[in-house]
Amino acid sequence: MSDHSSRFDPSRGGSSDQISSLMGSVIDVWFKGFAALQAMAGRSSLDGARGEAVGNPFDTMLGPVADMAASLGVPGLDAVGARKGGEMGQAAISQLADLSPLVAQAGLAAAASAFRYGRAIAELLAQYQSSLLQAAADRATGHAVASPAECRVLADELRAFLRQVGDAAMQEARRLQQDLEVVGESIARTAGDATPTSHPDQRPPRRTHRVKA
Amino acid sequence: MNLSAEVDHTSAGVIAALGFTEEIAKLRRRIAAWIESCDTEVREALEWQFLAGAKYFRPLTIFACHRSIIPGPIPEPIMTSALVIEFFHNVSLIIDDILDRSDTRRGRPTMHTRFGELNALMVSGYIVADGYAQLGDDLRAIGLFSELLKRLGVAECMQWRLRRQPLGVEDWRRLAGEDTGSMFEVCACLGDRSSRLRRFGGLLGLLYHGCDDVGDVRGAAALGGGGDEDVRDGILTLPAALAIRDPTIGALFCKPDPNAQELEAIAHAFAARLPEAEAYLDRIAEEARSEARLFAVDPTLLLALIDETRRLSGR
Repeated sequence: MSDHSSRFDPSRGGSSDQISSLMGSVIDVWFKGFAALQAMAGRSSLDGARGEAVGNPFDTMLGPVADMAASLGVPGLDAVGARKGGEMGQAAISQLADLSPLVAQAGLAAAASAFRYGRAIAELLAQYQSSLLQAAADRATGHAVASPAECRVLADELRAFLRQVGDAAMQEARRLQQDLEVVGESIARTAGDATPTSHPDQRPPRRTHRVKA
Repeated sequence: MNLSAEVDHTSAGVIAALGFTEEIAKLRRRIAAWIESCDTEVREALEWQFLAGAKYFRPLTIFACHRSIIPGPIPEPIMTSALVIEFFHNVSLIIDDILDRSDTRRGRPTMHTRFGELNALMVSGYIVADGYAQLGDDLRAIGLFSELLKRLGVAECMQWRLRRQPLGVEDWRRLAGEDTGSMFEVCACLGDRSSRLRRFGGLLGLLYHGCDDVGDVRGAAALGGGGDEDVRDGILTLPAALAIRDPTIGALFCKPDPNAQELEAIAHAFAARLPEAEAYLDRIAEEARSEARLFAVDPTLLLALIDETRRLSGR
């Protein structure tokens, strides 16, 4: 016996009370999430004002890259390498000098991605704020002022909003994936170039194809 | 077999604008050669279906997506994918025409009107089977075409089940996304061979579907005009989704058997929502442009394809 209860059927359960309740739940969850974001942003700016990096997600993300760059003495890595003398082979130092800017580039790509996503969400909030506020007001007053037809329009608006939040996340994830794959290809090329060999024929194969997907 | 006068007039301009005249000519020769190789029992029906007034938008999408990622000539596996997408597209048209009880398409009798329902259904099966045979060992394409057939089947069932219901624009978007959207999504994947342009394809399909809906209401000659079947059957088109926000029109739209006067009132309400529908289509077009710019190596052809598709609403 087949169970069709999970089939797409947007017309089911369409009473205004149920729609209002559903929208109220969505709005509650959304505002809690938004408050959390605001709290994080506020704490970050306060931390920044005190000159501390703790709590700032960008600093947290870029921190290890900065530490690595500092430990390698970038810029001027060659000078550090010279001081360390025999601790590290010259080829390995050269390889790291090539790689570390690329790792930093990856960090910057991730930071830019987070920024773009935040901006996209802010734009969506601005675009749909009247629908969100109306749903919140209906929720606060405890009864749906709107007619069933108006509720359906409002529900349609909120569904569009949620879809676009998801779309923005997916697009940004794909964009970041593409950016990071480009960096990954550069790292692979750099690593291949820097490997010491006695003869050109013994060098590892260099990847020359375009990044896809 | 004379192929020179068989391309739809509007589409000939689009094909030339996108720079795929040679490729489409080659595709048409392959279609003609395939028909010649088919069993004589079905050949006349295949000629009737394939060699008159086709738009070739789906092969164009495959070619454009391929070239936007990899410049140069269109390779043979991509050409075969274009051939098979025309097969599957025509199967979907034959089934749609039976379901919608449409007597004419592209200005002449539909296949089931001309050859009967049994022949139309059996020829559809023949086309699908030979489509898979054409793909040979192209496993990626086989997977994509299987995805397409399944999604089209589900979309058709869903669309029919959800007739005459007070749904919204988001519901239209979902239905259209699984119907025409899935077709163009698969076209994009067949062209780019990486799924990088999958979302672009989905948006292009959504745009195409919406322009078709709007063009039907407007009676745009470019898309064959009409749309009467959709009104009669209570199909959720984009103008319908907007118009039934009005409770009076919504109630009429949901009636199981509306009379002529009520159908006229519904059609009038749909027409009144055309500016809003056009604005919505503009937003979809912009989403598609954004995808093209972000994920194509060279988005030029994809942007042109969006512009050509957008014109189909007859604005």
